[in-house]
Amino acid sequence: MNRKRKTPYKRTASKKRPSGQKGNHSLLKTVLVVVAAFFLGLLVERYDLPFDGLEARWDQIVHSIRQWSNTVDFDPSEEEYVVDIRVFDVGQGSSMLLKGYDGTTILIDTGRFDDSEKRIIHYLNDEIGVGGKIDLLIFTHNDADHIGNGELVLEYFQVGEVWMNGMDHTSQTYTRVLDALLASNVTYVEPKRGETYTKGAFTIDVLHPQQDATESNQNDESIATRLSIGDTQFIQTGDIDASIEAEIAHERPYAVSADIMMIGHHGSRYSAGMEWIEAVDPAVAFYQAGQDNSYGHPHQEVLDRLEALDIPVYGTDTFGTLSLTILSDGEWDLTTEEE
Amino acid sequence: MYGVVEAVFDDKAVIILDSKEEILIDTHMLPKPFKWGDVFLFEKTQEGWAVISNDVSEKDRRLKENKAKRQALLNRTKKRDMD
Repeated sequence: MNRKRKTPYKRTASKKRPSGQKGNHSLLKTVLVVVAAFFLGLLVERYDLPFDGLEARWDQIVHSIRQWSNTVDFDPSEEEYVVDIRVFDVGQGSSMLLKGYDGTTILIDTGRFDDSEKRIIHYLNDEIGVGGKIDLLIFTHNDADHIGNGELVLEYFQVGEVWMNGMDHTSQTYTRVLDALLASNVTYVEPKRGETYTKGAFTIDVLHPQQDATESNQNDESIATRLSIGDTQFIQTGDIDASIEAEIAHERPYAVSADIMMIGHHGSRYSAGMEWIEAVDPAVAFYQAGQDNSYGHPHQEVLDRLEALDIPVYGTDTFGTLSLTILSDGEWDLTTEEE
Repeated sequence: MYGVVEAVFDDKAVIILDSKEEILIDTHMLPKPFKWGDVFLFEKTQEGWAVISNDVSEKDRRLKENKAKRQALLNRTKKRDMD
């Protein structure tokens, strides 16, 4: 049964600017970065400041400019919605789709390896059409509940670019995905912390893994990203644990605040630590877990932490697939598959 | 026939054999300690599939093979960027 309801919170409309200015923003961005670099250089020389400390500050300045430009590039009067988000019910696994107002589609993970119904294929057929376009496919890490049927997604849909964490494995599921990547013509990237990418109207901050990642375990080397579009931010962290969340929040505090938070590791008590939740400060949080899963996900501690901060939580184990549309007038529409 | 530990749920392990067949095996039937991604040699007996060897070299070989594939993907993208 479908249910449509307004979320109990409401955001203010995106900043509006006069039409006709869109083309000037790339130039404006460049000018702003150059001016900022000039003044930063002056400061370093004038006060003989150590460059090391300024490197992080510079990163923050560039980041702020990018974020600002992301907001003004969006004109709510021209678009019906900002972003359409689907958190698919793939049982005890992970897969979500973001569709931007400009038609850019980003898929994060493809669900479980043992999903005999191959639900991800049906979901994508419904959302982007048979053989539709996926601009970016992010496999957060190579666990079999995140990359399952990935080879079929690569075969059946037009995938432009794939991100993986670069941590090799011997599983058949991983090997099948690698073989499908080699057989396709996709661009392959292993993103690292501190990098920022633009995909259509999305700006993507890579929060993890680190540049010098040492192979510890798959979960802790998950690709964590914050995706910004218009003035909406969506953050996901794969299966990293709370200590890494805290490290990211400490190192890049300006890059973690987000409206929508995917709770890490299916709602495990070892993820979504209080420090992280407070740093992200989301308006709503989602998790993906299977009904009556043997891990006990989501753990009550995580739900309690979110409740303490009055953050509404929706999970696929209870509500099925979650559909959140951020409308251009600032309203949020949340539709759940189940009551 | 070789098989890889694809996942472990409670006291069962999912093994994917090289024939693509998926089998479910009690974890106590596997050599300890084992972990996800380990490669074992299996043989079909009257009681079902059984482990006959924990071949570490086969796991290393597969790991190297996948590393090479990943490197090929990185090189392909790099070359395309340069072109």
